[in-house]
Amino acid sequence: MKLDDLIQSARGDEPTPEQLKKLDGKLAHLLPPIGGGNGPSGSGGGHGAAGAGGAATVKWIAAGVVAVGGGVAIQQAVSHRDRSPPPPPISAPAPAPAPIAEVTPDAAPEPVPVPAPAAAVHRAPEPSLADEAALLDRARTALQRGDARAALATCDAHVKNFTHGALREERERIAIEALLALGRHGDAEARAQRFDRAFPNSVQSERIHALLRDR
Amino acid sequence: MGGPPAFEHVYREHVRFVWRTVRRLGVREADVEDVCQRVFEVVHRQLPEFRGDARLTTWLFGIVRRVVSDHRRSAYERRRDLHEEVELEAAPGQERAVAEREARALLDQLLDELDEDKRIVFVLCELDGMAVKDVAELIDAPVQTVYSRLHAARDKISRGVERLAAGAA
Repeated sequence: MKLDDLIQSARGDEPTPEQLKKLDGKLAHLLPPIGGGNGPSGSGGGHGAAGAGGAATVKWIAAGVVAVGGGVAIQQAVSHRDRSPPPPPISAPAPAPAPIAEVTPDAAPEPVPVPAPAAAVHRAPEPSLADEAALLDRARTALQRGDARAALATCDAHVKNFTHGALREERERIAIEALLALGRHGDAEARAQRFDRAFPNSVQSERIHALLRDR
Repeated sequence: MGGPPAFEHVYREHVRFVWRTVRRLGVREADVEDVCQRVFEVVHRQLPEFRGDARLTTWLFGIVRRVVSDHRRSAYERRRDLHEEVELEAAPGQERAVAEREARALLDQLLDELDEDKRIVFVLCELDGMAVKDVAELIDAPVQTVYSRLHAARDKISRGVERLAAGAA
């Protein structure tokens, strides 16, 4: 097997119309009702800069790099994808891994109730985005009603339960806002600096710096 | 510029790119759909805050990168890795399909040996066919940095293929 065969094998990474239809279904609650426009499984679409997404021509194949036989290395490398069972229902966050947050929690957090981990099951469920969002919604609501301490504690709970959560930038913005509301400007500045280092291109940056400027 | 683009537009326009990028950044085929769902749920949640001062694709790619990274770190994924069985028996007439899957699995293995920054550049340039300049814009890095990562990634992948070839000989 040659290197360009490996590269070519990535052609199959495009979603099939059936896969897109399934994804459409999973996101139906976010999309307009069926009938308005083409689905992604129709023609066109695709990422402009990325083109059709086929394998690019490989111009750099090293001479003499050939023939990876069908041997043991292949057997070891292959993951058996097609028969993987579907993911389990995700309703509660997995037990928190060791909290190695890139942005450390602020002070000693107050206990904030979060959904309990599922009872002992064979497989740890993947943390749910809905749970993560719900926790941040609680933090935001607390901030809106003027309870910055509760908002901050909820953000700290988010750090612990969703260390690498998809919404951690949003969490940091809320935490910084809460720190400012508590008059802890130095802590807010420091957290904002850590934020900038961790998420240099975040859409939250502008809001965070506007908050700091407005104080 | 007006407000942020409509979610549906973002979804329809970029779903294929998101899908294959999720796959190529190390999410197993069986999990790609779930991870894409997660990406677009985050997009939907954060889109109102997109103000157009960054490129939409750069912003979107940042979300893809974080969600994939989150997924790969999760205990769920690790446990699946531990319990997964390897099976690669070719049914009659399926030899070609199996060979393609072997090749794709080997590519996964070699990509897994790259660090994240190099993997991203390799995936976008070599698998997706993007120009270095466009990749630089997408990941918000200097063009020279992209060239440097691409060179290093190519070198490592080539050596990986040589190693596998030698091991199979």
